[in-house]
Amino acid sequence: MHDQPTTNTQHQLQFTGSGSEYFRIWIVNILLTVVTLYIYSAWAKVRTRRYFYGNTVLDGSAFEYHATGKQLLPGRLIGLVLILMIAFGESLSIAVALAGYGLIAVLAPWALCRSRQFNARMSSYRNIRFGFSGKAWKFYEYIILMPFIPVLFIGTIAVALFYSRVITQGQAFFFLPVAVFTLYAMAPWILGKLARYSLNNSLYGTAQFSTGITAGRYASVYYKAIALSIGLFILLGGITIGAATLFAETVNIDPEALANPDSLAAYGLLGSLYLVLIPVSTLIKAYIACRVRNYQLNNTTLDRKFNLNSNVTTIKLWGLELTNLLLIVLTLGLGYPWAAIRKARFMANHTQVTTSHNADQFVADQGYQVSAVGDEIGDAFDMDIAAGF
Amino acid sequence: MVTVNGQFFEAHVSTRHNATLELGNGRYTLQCDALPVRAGDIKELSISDRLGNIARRIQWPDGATFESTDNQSIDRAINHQASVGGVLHALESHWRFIPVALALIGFAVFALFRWGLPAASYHIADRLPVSAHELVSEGAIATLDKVLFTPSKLSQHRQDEVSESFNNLVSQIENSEFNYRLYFRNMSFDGVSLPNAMALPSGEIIVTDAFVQIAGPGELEAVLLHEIGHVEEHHGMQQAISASATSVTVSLTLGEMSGLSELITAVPIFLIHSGYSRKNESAADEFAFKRMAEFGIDPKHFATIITKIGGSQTTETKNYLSSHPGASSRAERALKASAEFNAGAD
Repeated sequence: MHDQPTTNTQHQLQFTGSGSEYFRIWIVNILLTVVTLYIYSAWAKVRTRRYFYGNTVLDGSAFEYHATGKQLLPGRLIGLVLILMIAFGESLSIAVALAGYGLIAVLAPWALCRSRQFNARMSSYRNIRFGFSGKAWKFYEYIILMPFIPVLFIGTIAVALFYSRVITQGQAFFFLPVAVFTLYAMAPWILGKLARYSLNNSLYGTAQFSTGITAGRYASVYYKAIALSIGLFILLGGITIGAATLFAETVNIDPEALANPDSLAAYGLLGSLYLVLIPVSTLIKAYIACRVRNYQLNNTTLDRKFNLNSNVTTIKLWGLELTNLLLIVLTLGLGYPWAAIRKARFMANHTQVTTSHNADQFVADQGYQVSAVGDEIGDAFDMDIAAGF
Repeated sequence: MVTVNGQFFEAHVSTRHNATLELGNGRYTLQCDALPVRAGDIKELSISDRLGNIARRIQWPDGATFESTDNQSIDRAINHQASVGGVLHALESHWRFIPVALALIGFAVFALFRWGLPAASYHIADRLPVSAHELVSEGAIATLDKVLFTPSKLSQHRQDEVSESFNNLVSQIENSEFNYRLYFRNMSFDGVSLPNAMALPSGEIIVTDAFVQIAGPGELEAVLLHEIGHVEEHHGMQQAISASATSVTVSLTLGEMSGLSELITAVPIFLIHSGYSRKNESAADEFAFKRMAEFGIDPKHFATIITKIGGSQTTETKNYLSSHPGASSRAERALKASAEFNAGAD
């Protein structure tokens, strides 16, 4: 390698897609998916990914997505079977539904790991593929083992105290909510662990990504978001109920009517709460997305020579998400492609790569092939870094 | 001969070279300052499909790649329009196809929900064993007892009478795979006892106190046969399957627009459900008319009981009957069946 450090250059990520172009691709995707009874959806997904990758440009070269519909189809069908097991199981047979959930629980960590591998291998920039060297057993450790150690611990204490007659059976059951609370409280920290592990095991060719993020600081974003949401809900809930009561008094609605769940006044109250709820929950989501993204990218480098930067702000992201939601609702869904493009452009505009090196000397890892099965099971259940939060 | 400007990468290295690719007569020539000229048969190259205006990737078997955004020249050189990818691109790039596509999507979705899913659930329900029907109904009565019913206040004598005519009817249904059972319950809303009868897919049939009280001889059998019709024709299972299938289909189709799907799912399920039950009610009515005629009961009793039940409903009490076809049209059909029955008897 003959890289000569020069002055730092900042390369701005650019997004060159257009809403009207993506709209037509999206419509054709939906049409063919419906007409082929879901089969085409695998190809539709490939076209969508290719479009978004191919329009993301860094330093004059675009990213590329290489998977084919044929690769994605088998995994997608497995995902479909699992979805059907759960959907039909819930109304037809609990045993089938439980089997479906059980399969997901057992497969999810593996699927998540395979999904990372596959998606990385199928992405390239300047003819070099990305890679992921994470191991599935680590995902089992983080997703299955870690959350249940404290739960097991709490359970053991409860059982021990009960059998040594320190507490009654009824009191022992109080440990259940404690265990559930612990599980939820740990979740952001576990997400942080996963994020750290995933970033440190990401590759571009043979070059390693490395990150300085810690699970604790990652999780603190979520804890702050929870505190923020509790504060906002109390504040805005109080204001809404106060305003509604005041309004009810001025127009002479019996305040008792508000307590009656069937009254028009109660519907009005519920409606206004809902109107407040949407921007508030969008704000919380924007806060988390923005802080987590900035924290991860700003502390991650490639090969210790290329620094990633993200400077999204919560307020701007919030504004984008709200206007996108409005756009989608007002167009009865037809505005979705424009919303997706706006978001991609926004994210690109707030992402840079800073380096004093040039990107000419990366070499490919000519190693392994992965199948798409894990990828699509993961996709069918929408499992991404922050699944369920 | 078409000349395309772009960037060339040797296999497995990220070094970018400005290059020119000449395509024509089934041959290619790649020229690049620093590297030897590559030339050969165009068929050696794998050329990515056109998608919007993203850069085209032209790859050699050894992994070397040429990238260019000059899509138009590449399309011309390789006659891309004639390939599957070219047809897709043509669809995706012309606004005039969009109204057609929207209309087709609308029709396909309508057809799927209106005919496809009901037909599929009809065939699936028909092929499921009785045990599946029993599985679906498991625990349903216990749940209904909690939320809807109170214990029956009918005398044991009256219950025995009704049970006897029920058993008599059931014994006449030939080749039934179902194990029919009758339950008596009271159902009231705002202190008013409501006449109602319902069937679970397993063959468990529930009649309410108010119904037993207002139903005269013949009328009782009419309604019981209607409920048996629901069971024999697997309506409950069909409805369960189509409800699940509808929500799965909607969420899959709109899967990419996550977040909105919940909003959109509820609507078609509601619309379809009222449609299904109308069709099924008519089918169960026809089943009842046919069997009544066979068992020597005048179908006119169906008309009288349906009018009684319909008339007993006040505007506030919206029980499940409100999703049924209009009581008067059902009564009319019953009278028509009665006329045929009496004509046949003469």
